[in-house]
Amino acid sequence: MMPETHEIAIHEAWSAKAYDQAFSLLATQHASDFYRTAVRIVLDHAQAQDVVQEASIKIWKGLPAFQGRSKFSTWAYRIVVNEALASLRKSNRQHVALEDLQIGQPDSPYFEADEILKALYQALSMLPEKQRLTFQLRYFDEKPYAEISEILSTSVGGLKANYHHAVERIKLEMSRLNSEYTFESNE
Amino acid sequence: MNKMNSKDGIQIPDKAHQDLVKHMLTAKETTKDRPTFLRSIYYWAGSIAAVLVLGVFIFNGLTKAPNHEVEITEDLAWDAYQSGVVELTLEDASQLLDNASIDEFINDLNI
Repeated sequence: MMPETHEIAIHEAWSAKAYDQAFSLLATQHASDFYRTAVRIVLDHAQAQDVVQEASIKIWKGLPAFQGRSKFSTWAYRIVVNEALASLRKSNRQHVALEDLQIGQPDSPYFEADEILKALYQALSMLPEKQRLTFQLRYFDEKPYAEISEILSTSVGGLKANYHHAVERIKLEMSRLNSEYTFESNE
Repeated sequence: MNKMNSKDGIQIPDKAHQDLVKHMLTAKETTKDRPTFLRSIYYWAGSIAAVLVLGVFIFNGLTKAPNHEVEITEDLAWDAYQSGVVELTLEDASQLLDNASIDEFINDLNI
């Protein structure tokens, strides 16, 4: 089933107040995406699973309050991102020691990276939170700015500026790590 | 469904995806409570009440009445419920409510 078809199916179930079905469809389609988003923020497998769990509860409880102004997945992403940020702040994991060799990389059994990608994550860890999130959703997930705008509650113009600054900083940090490393954002 | 994504290096195989789906469904089941419109009204009411109290305090402390209102949307109430925090500047808060809106929301809260 194509993503948009899935979105319509979720919306139809929600409209019919078949919340169990709507939630199941959302989970089936997006569980991995939610985990991926969470683990890139909290950088820890177990913590990311907790984030998905807590976000799931909020999504479930919030289904009747959903306004239908955005896609279900966008609304749910927003909850996951907020839950991950809250979890990160609770655990203080954002203060990772600079000497940590795994700096900025997800500690997950599903994470595999070459040296350049590891350097990219290390460069990402140097960015302010908003730039990092914008970059991850735009570059990694290839989400349109309009959707990122709804997830992060930031204007499209602000996101484009964030992304531009993020790319410039990543280029700088990666070249510092290894003069042979380059980064192109394709934008 | 194999959620491969070479860009971020996170590769989630089918089995792991199914486990994550189960994880979400289990989390839902453990809440016991079923979502109902009434429950959501309580959440909104609680959030709106918090905003209302803040707005009234600041509103009363200002000498100039605002010329226009800022609508309290359900999204705003949902954000408040989700995060437990509504970020408002003094200027935003001063524009939050007028007397008619206060009456309207009090009436809504008594439903």
